[in-house]
Amino acid sequence: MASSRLILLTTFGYLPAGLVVFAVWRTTGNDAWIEIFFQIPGALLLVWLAAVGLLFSVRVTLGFFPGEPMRSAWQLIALSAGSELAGSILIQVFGTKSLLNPLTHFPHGVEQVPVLRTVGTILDGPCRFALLATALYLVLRLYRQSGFLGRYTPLDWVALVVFGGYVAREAMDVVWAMQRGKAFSAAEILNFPADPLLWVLLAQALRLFRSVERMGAGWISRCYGAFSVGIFLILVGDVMIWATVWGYLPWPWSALGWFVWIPAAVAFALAPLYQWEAMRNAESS
Amino acid sequence: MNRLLGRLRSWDRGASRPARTGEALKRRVASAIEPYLGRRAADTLLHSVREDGRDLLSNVAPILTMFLGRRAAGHLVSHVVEAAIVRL
Repeated sequence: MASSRLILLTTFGYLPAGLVVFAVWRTTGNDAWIEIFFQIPGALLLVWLAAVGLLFSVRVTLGFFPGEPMRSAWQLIALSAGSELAGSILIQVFGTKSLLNPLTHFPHGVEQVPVLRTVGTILDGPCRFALLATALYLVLRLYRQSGFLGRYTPLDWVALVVFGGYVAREAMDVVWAMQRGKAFSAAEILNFPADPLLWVLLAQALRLFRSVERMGAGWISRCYGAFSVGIFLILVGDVMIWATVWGYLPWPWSALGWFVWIPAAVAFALAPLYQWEAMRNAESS
Repeated sequence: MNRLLGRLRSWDRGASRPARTGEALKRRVASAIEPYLGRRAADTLLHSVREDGRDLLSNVAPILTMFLGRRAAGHLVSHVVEAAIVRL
């Protein structure tokens, strides 16, 4: 209980601080406020949350005996958390020109920053999403076996159609850009599966959310509910990035999108923590 | 384990007391598993349990094992048996 409270308290302290920094930045017009905030405390928080997620995913995996069906799902969740942590370190520390980056202190070190950031984006994007989608497929299969698998509501179908439209629109933007002669780099091509995978994750998150509703509030529901919330927040952040890149969301409002990644990371850290707390509590009962 | 089995046998001999069967028994078990599975799940699982409660563990234990794993569920089921069934 103490661990999940620590994460929630840290976040509830951090988010208002972030909003104050955002207000000061807009009032003074000095970009250093927001840049330093996200490059140092923001980056450290994201890496710490990813590390917490990995640590507790591994603990949960070890809490299941080999051969138990949930163990396979949690092994994949742990791999996904590992991919998130590696991606976070590469993006937030080695892929940014900030005081945190040790490479900036070496000659030619800064030249490596874009490459490391690209590798981080692939690890924290398509790799992580593919592993998580496979894990959640196994979890949903167990929910079906248990008889507690929820059903999509009409609102869920609307969300799936709308986000499916967004994925299709994004694919069309890419095709049009290629027709106009834009050459995509290997890194960009490797990132193409990210949004279709996010659509699959949305479908799974909605199904999990309905299943959680069907079971009622409990540790297990908090765990899989947190995964659902994390996925919804990643989708919001992803749409904001797309809107910024294609000019639909002008600066400085696009900076608000940066705030989404922290609650998303919190949700992914809390999910395995709730499961671990449930198992530990049961063992000490 | 021997102590628990002994107490289960003595519980079985006196299992007809109202608090040991029916809704009272289901309520006690529900309150023990609710924090893990949620209220609706606990109610659904216990709804199909017979009045004398003899199929209680066979209904509840597989779901707890599925979500919590054999080790954690084993401890929890022992606790439920001890606290909600045998001690009465």
